[in-house]
Amino acid sequence: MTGDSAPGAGASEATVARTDRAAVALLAPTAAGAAVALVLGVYGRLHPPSAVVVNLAGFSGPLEAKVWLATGALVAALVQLGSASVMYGRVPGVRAPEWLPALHRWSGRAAFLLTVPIAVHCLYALGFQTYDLRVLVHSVAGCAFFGAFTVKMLALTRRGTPGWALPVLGGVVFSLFVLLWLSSSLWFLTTVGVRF
Amino acid sequence: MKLTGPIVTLVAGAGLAGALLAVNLYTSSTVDSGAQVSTTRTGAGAATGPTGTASPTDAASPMGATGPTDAATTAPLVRRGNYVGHVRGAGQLALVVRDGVAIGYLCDGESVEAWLQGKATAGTLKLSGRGNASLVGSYDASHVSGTVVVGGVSRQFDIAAVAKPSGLYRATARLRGATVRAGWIVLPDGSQVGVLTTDGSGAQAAPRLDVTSTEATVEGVTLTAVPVDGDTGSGF
Repeated sequence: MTGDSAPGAGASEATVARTDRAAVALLAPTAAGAAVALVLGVYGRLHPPSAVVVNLAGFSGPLEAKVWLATGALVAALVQLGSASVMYGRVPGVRAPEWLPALHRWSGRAAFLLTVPIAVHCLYALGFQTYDLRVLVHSVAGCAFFGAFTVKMLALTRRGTPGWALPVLGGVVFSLFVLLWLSSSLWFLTTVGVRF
Repeated sequence: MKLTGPIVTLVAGAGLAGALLAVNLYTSSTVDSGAQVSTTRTGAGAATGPTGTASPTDAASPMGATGPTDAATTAPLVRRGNYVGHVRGAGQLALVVRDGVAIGYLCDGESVEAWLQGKATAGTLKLSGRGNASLVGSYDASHVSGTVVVGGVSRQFDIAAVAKPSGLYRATARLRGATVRAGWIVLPDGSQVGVLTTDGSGAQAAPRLDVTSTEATVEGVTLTAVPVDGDTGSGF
């Protein structure tokens, strides 16, 4: 995310006191996010993969359902990136309309809620696996994604969160999601084929 | 509102995850108990005849239907066939029947595979494989239905008869001192799933099989696959 650089530069000029306040404001969200990522990873590793799951009506199998849920979430994530860029004035010549923050919030909620069933299936039926690079990357990024998302949500609610924090956290969440989509849905669509 | 929104989002996500997990836990416990009921019933049937009590779940019925009386009265004389289809939650299943012998392959195209072998008699299939994998089903000219148990999980299936080049393929080769085994299921729509197993290093997705030449390339080495075909007897 190139949009992170300008607010980040502002933080480097901050006084020691401001840096301390920023650290305090981000401490609890970061700890909570790390705990979420850790719990998901440990659960995925310890819980024996059941392979039995409830499928979503209309799809031929849970993997197909996940591919399309994730692709829907990717579209919402792109809306996230676009709306955030405009809100932070990173798109030259485009002024943020009044409804843009609402669009950002609701597309984010939609993207997050679409990813939840995918994560439940991944963790419950497949687990945290390491048998090849794609799967290892996907497992780690999946746990990190929900951790980073938790940090972002909690950071939103804290007073005194430094200005660079939200773009950085948003960028991390977005990048992790894209990595997840590439390492699963794109793989499925190109390896198994486009199926519903 | 602006401050609590993100918290509401997190709680909603956690609640959705919890609800889905609960449904999954409930469903898999139902499937498990269904499988146990079927096993008990099959065992009782073998000893005392079909006097078992009615099963509480539908999961038991395909197994029950494999009893000798049902099969003898309903199954037409189909001796050969190739069947392919999706098994919910497990990937693709291929079954090949030829003159009393049946070969089965279940594969998710990723890491899980199971080869099964067994008998086909009078419209019923009974196959078993490594790690207590088993399959029972009834078949006719157009489809096979039944229950497959792999990795301790029982799943029902109903798969349809297919024609070439759709079907089951397998290959075995020596690659840099290791034995490589691969299996592919080619679906009627032309897509395929396959898993490649190398001694010592486990299973992975198999490279694409060229259906016309029945060849696939693994790390620069050409692997020639053999169709497992009930009509020609290839691969039996």
